[in-house]
Amino acid sequence: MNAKRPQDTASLNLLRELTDELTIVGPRLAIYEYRAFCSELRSGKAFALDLRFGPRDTAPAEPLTAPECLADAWGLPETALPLGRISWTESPERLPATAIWLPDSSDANLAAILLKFAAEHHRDPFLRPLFLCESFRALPILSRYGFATLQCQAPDLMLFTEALAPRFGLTQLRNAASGERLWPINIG
Amino acid sequence: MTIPEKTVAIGAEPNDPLAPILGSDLAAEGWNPVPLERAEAPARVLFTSQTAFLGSLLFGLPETALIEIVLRRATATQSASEWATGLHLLRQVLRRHGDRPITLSALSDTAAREAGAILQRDVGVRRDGRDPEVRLAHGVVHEARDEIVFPQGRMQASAWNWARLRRRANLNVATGASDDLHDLVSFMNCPRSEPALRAPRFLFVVPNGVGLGHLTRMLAIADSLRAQGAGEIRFWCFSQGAGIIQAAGYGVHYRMTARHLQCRPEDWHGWEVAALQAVLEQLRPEAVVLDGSAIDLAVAEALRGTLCCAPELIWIRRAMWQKGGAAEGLEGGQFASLILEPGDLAAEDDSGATVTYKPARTGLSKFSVTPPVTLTLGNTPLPRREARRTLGLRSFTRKLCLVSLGGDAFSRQQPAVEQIVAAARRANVRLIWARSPLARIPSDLIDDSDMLHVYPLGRFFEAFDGAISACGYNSFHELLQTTTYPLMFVPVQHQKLDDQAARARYAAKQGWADCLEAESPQAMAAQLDTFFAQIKASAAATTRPRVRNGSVEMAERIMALAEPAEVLA
Repeated sequence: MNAKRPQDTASLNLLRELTDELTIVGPRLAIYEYRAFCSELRSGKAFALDLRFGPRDTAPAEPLTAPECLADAWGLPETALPLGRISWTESPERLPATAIWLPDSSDANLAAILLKFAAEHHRDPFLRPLFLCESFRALPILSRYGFATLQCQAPDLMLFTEALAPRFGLTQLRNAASGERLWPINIG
Repeated sequence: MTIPEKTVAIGAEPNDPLAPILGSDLAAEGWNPVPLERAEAPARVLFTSQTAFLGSLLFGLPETALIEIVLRRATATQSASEWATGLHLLRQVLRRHGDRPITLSALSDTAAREAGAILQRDVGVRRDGRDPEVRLAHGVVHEARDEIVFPQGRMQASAWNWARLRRRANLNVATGASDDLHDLVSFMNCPRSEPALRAPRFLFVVPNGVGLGHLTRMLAIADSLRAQGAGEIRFWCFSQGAGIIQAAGYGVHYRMTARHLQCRPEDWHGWEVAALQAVLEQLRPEAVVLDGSAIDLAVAEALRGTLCCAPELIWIRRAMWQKGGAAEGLEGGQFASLILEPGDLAAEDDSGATVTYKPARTGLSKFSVTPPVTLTLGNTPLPRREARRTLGLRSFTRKLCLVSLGGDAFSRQQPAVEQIVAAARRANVRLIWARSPLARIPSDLIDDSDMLHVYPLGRFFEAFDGAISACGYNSFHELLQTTTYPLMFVPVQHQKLDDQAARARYAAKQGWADCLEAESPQAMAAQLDTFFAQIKASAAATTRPRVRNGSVEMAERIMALAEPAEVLA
């Protein structure tokens, strides 16, 4: 045991140095990412995916039921949710895991909703978001900035949230546009 | 909730290989098998062992269901006296449930006789009197080392769902095997229940690639399968380009990796297996088709599920890996029935692991190389005028050069980007930049009006007079095979990518295209000046290869595997 001590001390010191550096670099990186995120959202092309297939004889597929709604997940451990790269906080795991419903909308509306969220989330991170998107349009940009994102149709929203709640430890579901709490529903 | 009349609940111990075998048989006979834990009011409950039955008593039995117990002989972890004690306990329990119709069966005559003697009850034999079926592969199970040895390769005994194994192989046991394994193997060698014929269904697994390469290749193969009569094709997709798949007409389950979620891989694994098994149970595909440099263990584990009807696993595995890169992913070959390699026009210069590394276990997997696979449906090049009109490109005086540097290449290739812009300005050539829908909006160097976000891009190749492109599999093969104008490849070095440099150098060696790999800024500028001069002179290549699209051949091989396995007698 004694022979290992110097090495352990050196490792511990290195870890402390790295933690100190992360505390300095983390917030700076978040500022950079936040600015890049906002810049993309303001570009008018944040959701641009110009699909121009030639003749294929197929219509776009219907959305599928999320597997989590079908799965037998009894006894599985809760998994982490990321904070997203536009924010920094020392202990993100202490923030509540919250599902955010992002209904499909025009590019301008989607950008406005996400810009508003980003400003608050960057200034004072208050949750770890799981974006439930009605369409796939916002998925690439949200994923690019480190957010957890899944696709869900409006009629499945409550069932999906309930199925995901034990996985991510979700405490609530809110509407991204209005901030209204959609789940859990208060009864009485 | 309406329960189908023919629901059968299956109670089994974890990892019991008999459970998926009986689950597949029951599904083929028209039953709807569900796990006992999830069954609400089954018509029948089948326990795959007396241990599973006794364990379930803690939770109570469904009240009205018919109950059947398959009595097993001693396993490798049981002594003869432990086995007998279990049966004596079962005898007591059966006496208490005397009013319930409980059917007892066994996998062999010996098992039926020995168990019947202890229980003092009649025990039937499953598959009584049927001769073994002779299949194409023959393997020997070595129980102590958890391995099956076939003449063509070895595999972990648990690598495949045994219902799937039964479609391909006859098994024997090595000396010292347990009584239960003897019974199980002889039962497996008997003919199985055949499912009703239907158009085969597929689940495509798309990994979290850096670009859209995996996704595009999978779309090409799915399109060819559909053209050859496949039934439902669904995608299990880790790529952020999931919206492309949906737009192309395929249902898609979007997934997130453990890395993206920043969670512990072991926590992620359990959820992924549960979710994937749920989809396999719902879709019941004939095969899962996975494209990537490794087979994720969550996929391998999900395929062992009791009720997923044991689909085949087909691994689409591109070659041209970077020299000296990690090769352990190739060990996953034992999980696959078929490994299909989309051919590479630069294969001659491939020095990566797929050429040099020999995996220890290859199991029953067959390997085959097809011609290069490219996306053609909905991606056939438009005539020049139409392509330009569609893209809104109206350049009557200047030549147009496409620049497509892949994923986040703009940030990685900043010096090259600056040089390209400067050289194009000197040559008075207009650059049109293609941005991957997965990449960040790039640098200020690029005028927004000269930016394309179009997918698929191949349809518009004729709009240009030349192209500068990264050298990923799809860009390389699409550009080489559909254009004659000057091409310059800019290999992107990324540890997760293929050996783009080898591919680009090979193309340059063949005279098919230039490779931008200059040693100094001056040399790079000179190379770019020469290239743009070729564009201005409307130079045309005449030696580029033209080969048939391998997606059709891949689909043929996949369809052949999805059909009922060939037996000799």
